Amino acid sequence: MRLNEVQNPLVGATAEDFTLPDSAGTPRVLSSLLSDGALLLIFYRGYW
Amino acid sequence: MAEFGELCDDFRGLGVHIAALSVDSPEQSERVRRQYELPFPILCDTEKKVVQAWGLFNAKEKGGIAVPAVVLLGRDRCIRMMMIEGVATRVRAVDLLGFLRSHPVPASSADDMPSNTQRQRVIVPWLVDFGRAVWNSIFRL
Repeated sequence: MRLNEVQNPLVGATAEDFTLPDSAGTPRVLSSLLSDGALLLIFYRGYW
Repeated sequence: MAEFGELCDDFRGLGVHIAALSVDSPEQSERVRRQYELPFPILCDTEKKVVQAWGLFNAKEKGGIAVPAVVLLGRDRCIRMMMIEGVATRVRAVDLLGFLRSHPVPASSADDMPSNTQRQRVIVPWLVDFGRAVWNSIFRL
């Protein structure tokens, strides 16, 4: 299998904007989080 | 995630902000944020819409949770990197920091890709992959 055959199709695509509450219940908009730089978004499994 | 918390300022120095995301409620997320003294926001995808849209939904555990992953987005919301974690492939914050030091994230995709290529990838990434899959099924099997 060649590497480019397993490339994630989302890489290189533009993410749709979204709004989610933060841990204080304050709505956060993805595009606002990106207003002054790049963003590392860490997906984690959750509280255990 | 605690490691990213400790290196948060270093990432910020490179123009990279950090946020975390899980399907937990704000209350549960606040407990995690305090426990690890995280200096960045935790987003609460309780309806599981983002994890599903981004292909990072694990339906088999605890009624559906996020697949552990680190995603790097450019300012234009272009997904630059997706590091999806397995047990033995967890990306270390310090390694990522070192990488970003030598590979700054461009402000826009147009800065490092020809515009026609970028337009094609933004609009129809799935079509490109579909075409590739069809091509492979015809010529490689």
